[in-house]
Amino acid sequence: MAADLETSVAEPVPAAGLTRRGVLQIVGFGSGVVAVAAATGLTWRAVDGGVFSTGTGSAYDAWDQAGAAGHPVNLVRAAILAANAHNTQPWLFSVTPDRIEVHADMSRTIGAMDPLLREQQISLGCALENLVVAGPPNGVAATVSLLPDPSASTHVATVSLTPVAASGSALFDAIAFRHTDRGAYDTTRPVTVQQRAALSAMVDVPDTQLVWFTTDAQKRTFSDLTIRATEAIIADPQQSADDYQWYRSNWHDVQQHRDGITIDPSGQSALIRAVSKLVPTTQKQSNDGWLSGTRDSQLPTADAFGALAVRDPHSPLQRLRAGRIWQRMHLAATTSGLAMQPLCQIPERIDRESSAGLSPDFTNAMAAMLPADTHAVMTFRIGHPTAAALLSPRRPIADVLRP
Amino acid sequence: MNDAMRRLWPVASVAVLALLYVWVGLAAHGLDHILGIVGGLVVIGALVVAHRSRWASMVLLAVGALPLAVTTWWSIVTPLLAALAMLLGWFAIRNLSRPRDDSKKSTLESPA
Repeated sequence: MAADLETSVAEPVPAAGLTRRGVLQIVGFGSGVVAVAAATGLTWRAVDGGVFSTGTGSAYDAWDQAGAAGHPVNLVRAAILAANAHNTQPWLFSVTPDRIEVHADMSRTIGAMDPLLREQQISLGCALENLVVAGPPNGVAATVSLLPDPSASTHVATVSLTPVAASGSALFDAIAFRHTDRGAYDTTRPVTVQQRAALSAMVDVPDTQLVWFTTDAQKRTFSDLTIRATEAIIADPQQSADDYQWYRSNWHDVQQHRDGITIDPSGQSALIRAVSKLVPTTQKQSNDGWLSGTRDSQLPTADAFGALAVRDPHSPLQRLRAGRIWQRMHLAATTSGLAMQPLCQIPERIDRESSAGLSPDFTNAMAAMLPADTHAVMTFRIGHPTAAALLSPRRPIADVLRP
Repeated sequence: MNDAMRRLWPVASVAVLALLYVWVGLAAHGLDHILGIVGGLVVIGALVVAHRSRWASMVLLAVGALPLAVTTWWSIVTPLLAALAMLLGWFAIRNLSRPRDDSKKSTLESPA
């Protein structure tokens, strides 16, 4: 190939046509032009698709705006960084100098994935906990009244603000660093009994308890059930479609909607994430990736599994409290260098069985793993991270404030 | 294909690849931001110095193209850009560093 590309003294060209050397030169030139054109197209696709822009852009600005600044709106800035199901961010806030109202945004539901609104109410509980944690660093004490108006089911809480001397807290400092870690966990570093006990001690209401699954048999049972639940969700056309509605596979969609499930925090390798941004993924590919990630990475590398179990799984009050506890636990885990991830396929199938009148397979199987008369509203895994968890997008505060 | 075109198309191609590197650098952040912008400029610099020293030019080409390809190997894009830059850059530098034989060329172009 060198001979046809290098510059040399031109050979005389016969009048009848090209020489062999001339043909090779043209082929080399053509190949080079095509290769550079293809590289240009691929580069455009990569830059436009955000391959090199992980965690940047306006969709991620909220993570840099959670610092204390002494204004009630800053409590909301902390609240919107809370954990929430499918990154739907189903919240709205009304802010006055002495109180903040938290409302459910009923336009941001997950359909058959959350038919009983369990995950929405847990998400709102998470936001509420962040809001409370952010109070003292912003010079206010936050007092929560859950479900203050029985006639308005979407008004989930009113938070009264009382001026106090500003003081910092480790949990507040962890708010901007708490991310759901969907990657593989370090199997050589166990979570200690003391660490689990410290998390259990954060359950502060009598109708909720934290159940740990730590033995090999318990972990195997939980894993098998989670895999089955994942397969059942994928096989359920309505549930699968409603789940996929919240997937944002296009970089422009991420920046425009600033919500939903994105590829960056999926726990996939950098190579897979780059390919996903270069080549559009189908619902089937997305489901296959979800199942394989759950089965081959997330479940086998977890140090332990857990469940937040309540007496009445349909009680909005108990769900909101469970959400507050989850957020508090996750913030505390973040300060301890632990990784956590909700793995809620089992409760999602339980709700689906209940709402669609299906056989209570997962309902009974999960009940067998829990203390009598308790029901799991949230299940999760815990371990030590192997890599930094990446950011999920967040809507700007202007989008969640009610006039 | 005339002599000038044969001589310059690898140079133009490498220049385009260098600009793509700068583009990637502008889109990236952190270390990759620097490696992309500086790497692209160094690749162009390699073409500029080719007529003085072929080996210095080759070293600059490698120094400009390889670091970003290593740090962002997972992107697929930058290793491809680096491989093309090295391949086409080799031809470009050979062409630029080889003195032109004007007397012979003029003889061929103007047969007596």
